[in-house]
Amino acid sequence: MGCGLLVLILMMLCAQARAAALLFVTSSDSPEHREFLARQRQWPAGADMLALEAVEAQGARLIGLIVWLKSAPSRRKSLPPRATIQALIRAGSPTLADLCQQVDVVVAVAEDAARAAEKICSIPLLMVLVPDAQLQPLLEQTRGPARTAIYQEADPIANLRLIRELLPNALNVGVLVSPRQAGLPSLRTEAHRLQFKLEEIAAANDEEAVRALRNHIGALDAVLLLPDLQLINAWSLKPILLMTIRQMVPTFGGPTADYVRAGVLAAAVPDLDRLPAQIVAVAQRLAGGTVPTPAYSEATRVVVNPTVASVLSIVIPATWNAHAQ
Amino acid sequence: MKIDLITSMAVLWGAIGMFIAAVQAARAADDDRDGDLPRVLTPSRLPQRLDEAPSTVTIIDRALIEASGARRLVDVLRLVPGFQVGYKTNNLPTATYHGLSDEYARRTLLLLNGQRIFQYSRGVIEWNNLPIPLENIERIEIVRGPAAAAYGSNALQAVINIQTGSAAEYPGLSTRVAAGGAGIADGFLRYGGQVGAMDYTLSVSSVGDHGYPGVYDDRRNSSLSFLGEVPLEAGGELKLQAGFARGDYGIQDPEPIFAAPARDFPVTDAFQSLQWRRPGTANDEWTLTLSHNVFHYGDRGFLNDQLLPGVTLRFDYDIQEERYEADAQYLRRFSDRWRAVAGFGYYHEAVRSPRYFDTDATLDNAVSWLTGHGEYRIDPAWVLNAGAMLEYASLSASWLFLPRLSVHYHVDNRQTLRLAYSTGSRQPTLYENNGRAIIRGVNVPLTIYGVIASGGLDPEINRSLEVGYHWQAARNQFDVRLFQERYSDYIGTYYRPAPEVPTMLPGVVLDFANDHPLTVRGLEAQVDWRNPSGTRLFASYALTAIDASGTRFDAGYEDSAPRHGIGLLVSQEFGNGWQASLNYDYQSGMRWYRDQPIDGYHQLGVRLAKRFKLGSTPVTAELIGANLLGPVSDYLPSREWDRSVFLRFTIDH
Repeated sequence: MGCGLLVLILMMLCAQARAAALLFVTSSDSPEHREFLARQRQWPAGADMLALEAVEAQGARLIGLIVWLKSAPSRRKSLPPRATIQALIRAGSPTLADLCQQVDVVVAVAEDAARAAEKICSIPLLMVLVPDAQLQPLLEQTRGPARTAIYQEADPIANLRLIRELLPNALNVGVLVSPRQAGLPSLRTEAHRLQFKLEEIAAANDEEAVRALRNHIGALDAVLLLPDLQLINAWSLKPILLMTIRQMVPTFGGPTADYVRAGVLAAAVPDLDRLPAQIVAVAQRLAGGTVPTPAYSEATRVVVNPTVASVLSIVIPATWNAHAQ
Repeated sequence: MKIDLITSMAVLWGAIGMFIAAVQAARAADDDRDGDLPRVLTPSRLPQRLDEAPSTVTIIDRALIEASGARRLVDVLRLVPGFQVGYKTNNLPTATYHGLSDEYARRTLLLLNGQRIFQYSRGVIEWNNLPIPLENIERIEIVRGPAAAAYGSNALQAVINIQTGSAAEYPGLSTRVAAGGAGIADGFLRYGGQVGAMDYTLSVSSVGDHGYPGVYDDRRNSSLSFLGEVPLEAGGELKLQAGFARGDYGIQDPEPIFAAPARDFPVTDAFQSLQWRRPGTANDEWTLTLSHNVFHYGDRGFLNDQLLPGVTLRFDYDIQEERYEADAQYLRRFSDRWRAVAGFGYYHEAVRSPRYFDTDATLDNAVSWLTGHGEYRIDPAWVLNAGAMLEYASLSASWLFLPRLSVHYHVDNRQTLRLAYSTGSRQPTLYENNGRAIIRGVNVPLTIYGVIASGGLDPEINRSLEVGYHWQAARNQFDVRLFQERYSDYIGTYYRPAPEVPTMLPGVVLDFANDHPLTVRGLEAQVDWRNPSGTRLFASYALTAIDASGTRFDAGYEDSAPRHGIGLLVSQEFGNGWQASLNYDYQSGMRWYRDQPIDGYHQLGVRLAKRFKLGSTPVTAELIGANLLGPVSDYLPSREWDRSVFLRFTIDH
């Protein structure tokens, strides 16, 4: 008994001696994702980091960052020290396959990196900033041992709450729904709690979405855009915004802040400044052997198009101005 | 997915005719008060908030058009305070604002997406035969009051700007059919798609009915229209519009001076328009528009050998008209405080009608104009609008300077007071200035005159002053205004002796002349209100009084507008796709210009609609009833609209 306890303590000491290593990768072609990765370098406090200017991934051009988390122990005893990885880099562009042998968890930022990591790495994988529409097939076809994700989009429920905050008297909220749409039960529950009448407008594709919304728009107080690229995309957004603004019906949601800049009144979107905290927490759990279910970003911020708000005569609380975009 | 912001915004805002999308995106972050997104586009050509526009505007949106159950655009105007709609014949609907018009109302300007394409040298609007189906109209902005500072001639009393949807808003195939009493049989087919980068919509429609009971004035109006939008790589957009409409009419003159047989004739109307919109590099945008339209009123009349013994006379009403127009416009935002728009344009109109001008030659008129408008925000509460147009018409060989000024005070976020001065103008038409309406003998060299215009007419001018109050909270709004309009040089008609020529009426011909000033005063109010339970109420009231005590002609100006007018539309969503609406219209007694007086009338219409799916196909079924309170005379006391009920089905394939 005493001997066993001693062994356990020694094992823990060994593990603590080697911090868990996270490998962040993203496409080198995307400035915004490069910027996001650069942001990771600012923390976690005390973490040891190593930037990788180029990572070979079967034709995909990636950049990377390795972070050793002192606060999290590695479960892979065979991991080499940092010097080994530095030697690997000096020898030329490391491959993603090689790097995956040296770390506990891969954090793939955006779709290109997620696809490459899913295919190449057999260690736990966390995919972030990948749209729900692209993420679902990846998660369904994955062969790896532990795959999870943080959706690119904010929880639609957050947008529903946003509607209630901005439109206290609204009743009818239209939501375009495709047959594959998941998560509606929770949306319905929240709509009921917020005293909304959720008008589910069925559409199989973007064309049908435009036509179906046209038939319902007159009876709606607001339209909620779910992150479904089959229905709401660069093509359908234009006619949808045209008809909603013309009918003075505010539109909420959409996957990114770009939609708000294009004419959506307001949306809750992931707060990229606070997202790394959630990423590290999930990565730590992955490194510890737990596979959390895919989740929405816990930290969100509200973006508002003040021009559209002005047109629709919707008063944005003064305290929101700091978040308006 | 990544949205191409610049393209998305430019196309989006461009499609609803607005200003500099890319700039909006760039500056949206620090603009928490106002934007370039339009509430209204029509009053000044500058996209403006409704409560900061220099004129009072009524907005009729798609939902109101549908709820009204209207089959003709002109009937929608019954909702607008101060408007009168009447049908001297089923083939000749007319609409005027504050009276002063006959069946050829020509003191209101009609625009399609901001372009003047439906009015020709006579200034008359062919309401039945517009080459734009009602189904494609998404919004109508009605500027109540003169707006010549932005549009020049014909914007004397009001401006009606029809706005169609963007081509991308109509994907796939849609059909609509309607049938019912009074011979109502309508069909509509629309297909929208993409060819390369171009979104396009092609629409075909055919609308027909028997018109007044017991009168031979059947009509069938068929149209084909095209709308295409091409985003340009350099930014901006190219918009192509084209339409062709043909009206096949039966006619039986309501008050024949001569025995006129019932007959059939066609009217055709066609237009093409090309608009290039290009955002600049800063806070600015260029728009260039070219348009062309032709009109043919093909009533070849009849022969009469009863009027004069041994003489066969030909009554021929054929008119052919054509117009070319070029219009350039530049908008610029100079700062958060002030924005401006400037433009210049030219149009040339030509008309040929041996019957109305006693010549086989083509007569023409050319109008050049230069306009500018600025909006200046003095401080968050005060806004100033100033604009003017300089217009030259070859027909009157005169320059007109047409200014406008308005001041707006925001009492708070919802309430605004305004004081506005504006001017309107109407150049005399070719017919008023050069008309010589004749009947020719077929078997003898004889010309009989009905009209001989002396010419030398001055343009009509309307100087308007109004005080208004506007309240708005989200989509609910209320507006009331007191106004006075002073009309100078109103072009009236009178009979003058013409002993030198044979005349239709014994010894006299009709002539045109400028009358002395007359004044229209009144109060107008409108409310558009919705509640969360699916109720929408749109109501309007107008009190109109015309003072024509100093006029030369005893033309009954005072009675040409009803003293009281009420418009009301209530619609209710009931859930499960059911909707009902009720529309009511009251006009007190009036008398169209130089016509017989009509009594006040009440009109009631109802519409019951159900949306459902036939398999996976969305269908809307409607039962619509009109004139349910009984027969209505809206132009002549002898002509009554009867009750009518029809069914309408809309199917999105």
